[in-house]
Amino acid sequence: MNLRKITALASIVILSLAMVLTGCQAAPSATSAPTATTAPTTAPTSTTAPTPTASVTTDPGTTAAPTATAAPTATTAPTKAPTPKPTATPVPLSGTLISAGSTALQPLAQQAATEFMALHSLVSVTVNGGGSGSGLSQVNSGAIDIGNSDVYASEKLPADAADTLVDHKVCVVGFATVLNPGVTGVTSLTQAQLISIFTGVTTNWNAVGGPDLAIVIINRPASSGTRFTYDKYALNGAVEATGIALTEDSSGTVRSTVASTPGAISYLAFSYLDATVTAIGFNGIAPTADNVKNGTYKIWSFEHMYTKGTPSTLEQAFLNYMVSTTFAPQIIALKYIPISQMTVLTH
Amino acid sequence: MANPPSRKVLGRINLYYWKHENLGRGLVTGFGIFLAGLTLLMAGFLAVKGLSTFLVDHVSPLEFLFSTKWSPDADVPAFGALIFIVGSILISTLALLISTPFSISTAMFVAEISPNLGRKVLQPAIEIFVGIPSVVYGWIGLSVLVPFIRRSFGGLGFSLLAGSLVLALMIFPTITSLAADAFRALPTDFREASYALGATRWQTVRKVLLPAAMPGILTGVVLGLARAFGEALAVQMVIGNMIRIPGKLTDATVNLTSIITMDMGNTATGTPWNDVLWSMALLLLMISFLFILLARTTGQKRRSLK
Amino acid sequence: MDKVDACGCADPVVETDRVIVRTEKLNLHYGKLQALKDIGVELPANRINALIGPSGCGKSTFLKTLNRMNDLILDCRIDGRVYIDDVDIYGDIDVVDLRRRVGMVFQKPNPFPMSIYDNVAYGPRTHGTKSKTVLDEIVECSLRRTALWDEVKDRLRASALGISGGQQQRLCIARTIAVDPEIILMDEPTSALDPQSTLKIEDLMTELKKSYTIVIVTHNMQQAARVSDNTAFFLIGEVVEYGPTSRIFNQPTEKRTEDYISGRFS
Ligand SMILES: Nc1ncnc2c1ncn2[C@@H]1O[C@H](COP(=O)(O)OP(=O)(O)OP(=O)(O)O)[C@@H](O)[C@H]1O
Ligand SMILES: [Mg+2]
Repeated sequence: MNLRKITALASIVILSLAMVLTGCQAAPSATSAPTATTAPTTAPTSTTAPTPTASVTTDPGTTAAPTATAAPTATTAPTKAPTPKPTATPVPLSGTLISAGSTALQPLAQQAATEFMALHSLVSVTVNGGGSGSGLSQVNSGAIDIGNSDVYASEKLPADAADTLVDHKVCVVGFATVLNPGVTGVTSLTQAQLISIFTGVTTNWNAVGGPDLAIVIINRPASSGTRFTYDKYALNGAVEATGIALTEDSSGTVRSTVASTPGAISYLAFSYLDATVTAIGFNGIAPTADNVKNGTYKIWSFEHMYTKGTPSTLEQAFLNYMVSTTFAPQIIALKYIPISQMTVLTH
Repeated sequence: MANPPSRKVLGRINLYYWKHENLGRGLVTGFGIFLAGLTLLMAGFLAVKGLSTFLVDHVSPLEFLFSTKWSPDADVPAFGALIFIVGSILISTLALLISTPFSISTAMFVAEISPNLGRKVLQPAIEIFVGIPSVVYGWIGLSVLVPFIRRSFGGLGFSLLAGSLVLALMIFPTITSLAADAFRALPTDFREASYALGATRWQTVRKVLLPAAMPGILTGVVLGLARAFGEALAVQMVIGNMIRIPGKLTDATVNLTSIITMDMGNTATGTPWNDVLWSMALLLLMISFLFILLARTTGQKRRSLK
Repeated sequence: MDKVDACGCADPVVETDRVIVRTEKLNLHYGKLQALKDIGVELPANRINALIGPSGCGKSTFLKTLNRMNDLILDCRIDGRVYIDDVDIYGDIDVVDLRRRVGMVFQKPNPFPMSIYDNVAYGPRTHGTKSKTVLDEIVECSLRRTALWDEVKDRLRASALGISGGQQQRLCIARTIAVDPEIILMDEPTSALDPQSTLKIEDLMTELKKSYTIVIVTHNMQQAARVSDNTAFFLIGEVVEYGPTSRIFNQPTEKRTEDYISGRFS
């Protein structure tokens, strides 16, 4: 009897410990970033991966990719395109890269890591999730090499910390407003209508041309990058009313909840869209990759990879690979948009 | 089993016994100290992280505990956690109210009414319940319970009720097995004495065994409550996470564990928003310790009664 | 016993040799093991009937057939007849009522983990007595008859587990007589007690036999000789000899009885 009770007590203690543990993000296990073992700080990257990619990452505004306008070409391009083959490098790349953060970017980064490691047998790249905030904190503290984020570091970190990080935009992700399929007759909403809905002013679909059905708002958590982007570009920064919206932790649960809740409205990255929810237009423009590229559809954001200071040789090589034409088809396959295909780089 | 080889050696440490007594004891003690140390370390870590909300970010503890204003992303942020605290208390208490009668009845059935059926069917079933991961409870709640509540009681389905029911199901095995243990631990003397006085089985269970097992049952209830407070995933999936205090059972609500899991990864270490989440975790740990203390004292009462 | 009379629940003493328990060809099996063989005895009312015999010979088993406590044991099979007041208790009777009429006191004091008062009131409450005044009366009366009243009257609400072992055993007897049985079965009631407490219980039995029929199992030969009127000697499931205690102890007809009593038996 006593023994059983002691075990029960012990398990509770362990449970609470586990609770604590799960709350605590990977402790600084790999503090000193095991950067590339290759020697000097020349610029081997310029030899391997030339032209458009590097320029876009450093400055989106001015050097706007000249090649990108003809959108679908990139997919067919790789024949001639310069790939970061190790052939040109005098010393083969080697070392370990740890990247963590945004769960939205995770599948893409994972794919890139797998391919990158296939090209460079001496390199090991690990990709973890954990959330944008966690990724940024960890790269800032030096626990990891690359922090993946859905939003600019300055949105999450104190200004002085954000200033020490270097931003590498790796792709663009579009977001669509999604409705429960039961909400018929609504194919697009204006910004004003969306603001009215998300601030709790409009509460019935019949006010915006839909059926007589109560509107159910499904949000992502306030700290989510998706919500941040949607608030900023779809709602123009309007403050959402609290206490009227359901909140779902992940895009996956948002999708299933929208699919099953009558009158539901929410927002999802293009990569999560499927037939179970209805994606609608914004200001009359359909949520398609082409409309994002040509600048007519406004709800999109960059996905970022942050390094602490100037990237090391290895980090730069991986970042280059992320934006290379070789990898572009993968980006498209996973429903992200390669930056090289964007005709506009500002909203 | 083996013969102690140097049993008769006098004036020397008898290595055989030393090995079997001190080594074993040392090992066990070592592990014990390690675990206790680890617990303290975790508590200390959580305390440091959790207290920085008040010491570094200068959020008032009173605001944290008693304000319902939660707007961490506003220009002038507010960090009132009362909504989450109330949500946790409501969901857990309700889960307990739903679960306890079932647990006690099942425990009675397993331990007293039909020990055979209990041992062969119910006990293993209950043990399987314990092993089911919370995400499974969450998915079942999401795909069965939520639509059911929406259809039968109106509202969105995501609700206090859904959270409590899922949680009730999850803590049911904890309370049941501890309650069944409490019944089994009772000496047969009580049963014999009661039957010999002409009491029926039900009278015996209800009037003698239940009161006698009560301290043990309470221990189970308290541990169930502790589990309820700490459970995150399954509850988060079905309560809707609407940041408000629910007005009725079918209203959506939110609790401490949900807000922690939703925001922890998305906020950066050292920001007030992140620190407040640690404070909530610290609060949960303190509540959990409180419950363990409670469970221990009820357990002690039982021992002194015997 | 003025006090007893004062509380008005002492039965009138009946001085007859009326047979109250009678068994015919009583056989009992625990699975394949035969624990009782062809037991045929007649126990008179208002007497103390002692059951003696070596360990494992079936005394407790026999005792439990008298209030059907064996019903609780799974593969226990009973053949033959047990009559109480000429009613076959294995026939069409109410077991609950039987157990009310045939009370039992166990070897180890086993008060319920509740107050002294509630322990004594448990039986009457179980059988439907609700009135507080009636319960108060029954509790006081039962405690007086077991000579416990003066010792516990100030702490009736205290836990019954807080009193001494001897007091606990007397409390168990009080609890048994609170339902006003006709027969009280006692299975080695003093084996866990000190000599003083034992003596008190023996006195109590002598007192109680005025109102009740007592069947007691004991390993203590002196005790059997001191308090009992009749003695049955059990051996491997059989009653070897049964008769007035003085005869069994002084002129046993069976060699085996003599051996056992004189301690030569192994
Ligand atoms: N519940 C039971 N199941 C199976 N066998 C039993 C059970 N109870 C008693 N027996 C067996 O029946 C026989 C008689 O047991 P019983 O308890 O009646 O002996 P006893 O005379 O009371 O002995 P003691 O003086 O040691 O108390 C023994 O062989 C015992 O092992
Ligand atoms: Mg016995």
